[in-house]
Amino acid sequence: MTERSITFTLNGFKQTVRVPENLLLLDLLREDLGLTGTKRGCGVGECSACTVLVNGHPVASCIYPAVKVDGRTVMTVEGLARTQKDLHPLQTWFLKLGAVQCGFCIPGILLSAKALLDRNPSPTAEEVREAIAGNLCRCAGYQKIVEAVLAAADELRGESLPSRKETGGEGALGRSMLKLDGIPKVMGTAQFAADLKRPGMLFGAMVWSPYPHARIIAIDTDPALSAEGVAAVLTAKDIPGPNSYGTIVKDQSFLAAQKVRYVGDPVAVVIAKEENVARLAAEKVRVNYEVLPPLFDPREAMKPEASRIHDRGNILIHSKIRKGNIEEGFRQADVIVEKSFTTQTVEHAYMEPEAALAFWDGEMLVVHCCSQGPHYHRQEIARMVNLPVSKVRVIQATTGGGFGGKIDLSLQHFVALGTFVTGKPVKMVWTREESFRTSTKRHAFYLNYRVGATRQGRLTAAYAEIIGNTGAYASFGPAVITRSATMALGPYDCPNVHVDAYGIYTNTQISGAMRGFGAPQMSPCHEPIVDEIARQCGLSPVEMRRINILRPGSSTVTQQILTAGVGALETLEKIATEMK
Amino acid sequence: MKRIGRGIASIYFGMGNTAKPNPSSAYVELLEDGSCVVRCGAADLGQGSDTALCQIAAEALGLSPERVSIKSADTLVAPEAGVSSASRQTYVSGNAVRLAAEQIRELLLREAAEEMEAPREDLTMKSDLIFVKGSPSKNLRVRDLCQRLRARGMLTSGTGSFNPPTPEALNPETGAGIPYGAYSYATQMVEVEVDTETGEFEILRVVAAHDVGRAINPMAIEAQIEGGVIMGLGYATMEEMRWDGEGNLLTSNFGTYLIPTAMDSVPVRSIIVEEPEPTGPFGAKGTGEPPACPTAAALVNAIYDAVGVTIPSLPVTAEKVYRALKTKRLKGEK
Repeated sequence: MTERSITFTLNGFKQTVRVPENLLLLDLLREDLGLTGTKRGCGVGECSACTVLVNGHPVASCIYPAVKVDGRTVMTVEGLARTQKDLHPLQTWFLKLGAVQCGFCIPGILLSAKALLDRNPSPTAEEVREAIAGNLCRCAGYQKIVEAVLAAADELRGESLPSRKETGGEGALGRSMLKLDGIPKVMGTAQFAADLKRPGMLFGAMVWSPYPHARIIAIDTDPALSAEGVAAVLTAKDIPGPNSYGTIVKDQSFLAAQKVRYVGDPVAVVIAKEENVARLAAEKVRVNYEVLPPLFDPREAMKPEASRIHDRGNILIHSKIRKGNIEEGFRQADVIVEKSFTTQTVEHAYMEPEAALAFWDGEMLVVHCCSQGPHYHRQEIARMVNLPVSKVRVIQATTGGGFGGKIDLSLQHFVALGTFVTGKPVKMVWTREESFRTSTKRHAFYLNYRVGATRQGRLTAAYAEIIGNTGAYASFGPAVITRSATMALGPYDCPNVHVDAYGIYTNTQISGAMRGFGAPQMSPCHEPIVDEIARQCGLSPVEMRRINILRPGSSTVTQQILTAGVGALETLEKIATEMK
Repeated sequence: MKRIGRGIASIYFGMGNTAKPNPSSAYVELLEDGSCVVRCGAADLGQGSDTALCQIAAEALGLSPERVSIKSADTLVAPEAGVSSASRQTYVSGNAVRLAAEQIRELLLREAAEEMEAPREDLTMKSDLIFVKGSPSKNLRVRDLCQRLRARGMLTSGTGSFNPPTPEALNPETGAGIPYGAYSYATQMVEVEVDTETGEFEILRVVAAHDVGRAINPMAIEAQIEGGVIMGLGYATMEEMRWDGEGNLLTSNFGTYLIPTAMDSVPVRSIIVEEPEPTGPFGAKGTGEPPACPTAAALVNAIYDAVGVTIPSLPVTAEKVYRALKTKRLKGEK
């Protein structure tokens, strides 16, 4: 590739660099110039985490050729403020109004907002929303971000500043204290795992299963190993400890040895001196598979005659609730409502794709990574490489959202094994596509409900069948299904309850923990039932809930008698006021 | 014609793992100048646990929270605090931090009682001072007491550990038992405008009332509610992972897997309800997950309220509303 010398102004300073014609601006900034405040969220210009300003206009630097900035000015988040004492009003107001959570999307949003305010000092809320429409954020829901941009605009125009009412008294609680981790996030100095480097660092790339269900006959790593720059190709044979893990059931192989159970099941890891070398070599690993028929629908997979995805069978868990006498409850009912409902599989879509870096610190194996649970990750890594738990140190890097998707291991153990085998620091960063293809998901549910009540609207019986597609491995499936059983009816007191909740293995991607653990799937079924019973009893939705909602002294579906701290009715009454 | 409807949905959510031990631990150190360092394994992913844990330590020790720092989620220096899931860090790790800080508080108050010749139970800590309740002029500075203790060879540090009070596993046949130490509760309302011809709908606003026990940091709670509601609306209206017949993912990037953008966000009003939880740190419980739980349900009810049709599955799309309206019309004609 031919190289060109380009000269441009970066955050106020003139730069001359030689760049290959095909280099992208994001890589120039992050890799060559060390400005890691600009983030890579998708790599294909769809999320705008990589937004920088070129001649004042926001561009997606992940798809913008570096040579195009020749003769132009570029501003990154690092150009907004030199020190934390001279933050730009946008940065200040993002902190003050609570617009910053994980921080991964923030540099891009700040720059989109800056471009807007530079050309339009008095935007409306709608204009702010339009200006940041391409910047995806998964934590904040945009409202506080829009408020913060408007507040910064006010300050920049020198107009009266909106003040935020300090809630609470003199104590430390009830105070809207600013986030302790906020300043590095608005300055672009927060270190996410993809931003970390070590001298002599190698890169890892994955070899995934292309089949949803297959037996591994043989793995030939030689073509990849002989490629220039490849340090190692790791397979199950390289794992010193037991080749199994899982937070609740250890049914997942670190690297598949006998069988793959979904498209994306990890089979091997290529470690090489550069990321693209590792990725190209990964395509050269030859795996010989015997393809097996896949099962995608949990309602099929749970049938006794279905072929087995795991030796133990396809029913991962069956959680039961049996409270009171369900037949008697339906006999007492004047109104009975039946309903079937299905929910889809969804993705956490945290803005930061998975990343990790491992290295030896003396005899301590250190892993910096995105994580929702470093101690859990430490336990699994120590088991994998057969080290005492005390000789593994997992450090959570600044983590760009999780929502349940960064509890399980994703790549933390692969960089750890890479370092264990090669002795060198090993880094791995997943693309958005890799993240979507292999991270856990929210379970799809198939729901069948039958609920009875008296003419006065008092619930007498609730029956629920819950079938959750847990995918190829257990992950948090048993916990999601058990929790679903315990919360199947919603926050209502009903004397007779019968719930069967099943978690079923299939050959789809793994479903695990995601914000709500079953509740978001069930409420769109049980809440319309509550409304339908209300209609049949001539009650309003509020009146119906007022009769049945949990309060001190109520009995839950698990027959727990609640005593105190039950604010359900109060939340209902607040909304009832809103309905008037 | 366009019709406006309102729907409500209520949920409850148990804090911590279901009927399983999920302890957290924390170390708290009060330093020679009366400032404080917390160490706790809880991972902050942006939701704000670091800040909340510092506020809890500050409250227990009567310090300004600005004088508290935290090192979290590094396994060599911070003790185990489980994973950041199940809305458990404020409730479980918050209690661990509170207990660790209260060890120091007990030591300080015992020493102060001697120095001040006042009964221990009459003393309290606030604004970096220890004083006799009701007469704050009779006080000791926390930093001075720390230094005097140090001079006598006594350091002011504490450890705390908390496991939610879930006494035993649920009965495997009946599910009976106490699965959670505490519950959060919520009711949300969604207001929607539906086109009776096309099934297209626009969400006008969401009001979300959440019982959080005690609001440690109201702005952070609002941020959780707003973010959770918009995530709930993405779930309710647009998000869906799809695969082809061979198990290959078809929605593998943000061009094919749509999540809400700023143009999709709607006004969200948060209402914080505080019904103190006896087992929570200063009455608090978690608010991470509940905001995302009732929103889709409230939308389904709002659509019924507007146009009288039920939707059989998520996501709720204009096409599904249109089909339901058509079926309803055909039934009405018969």
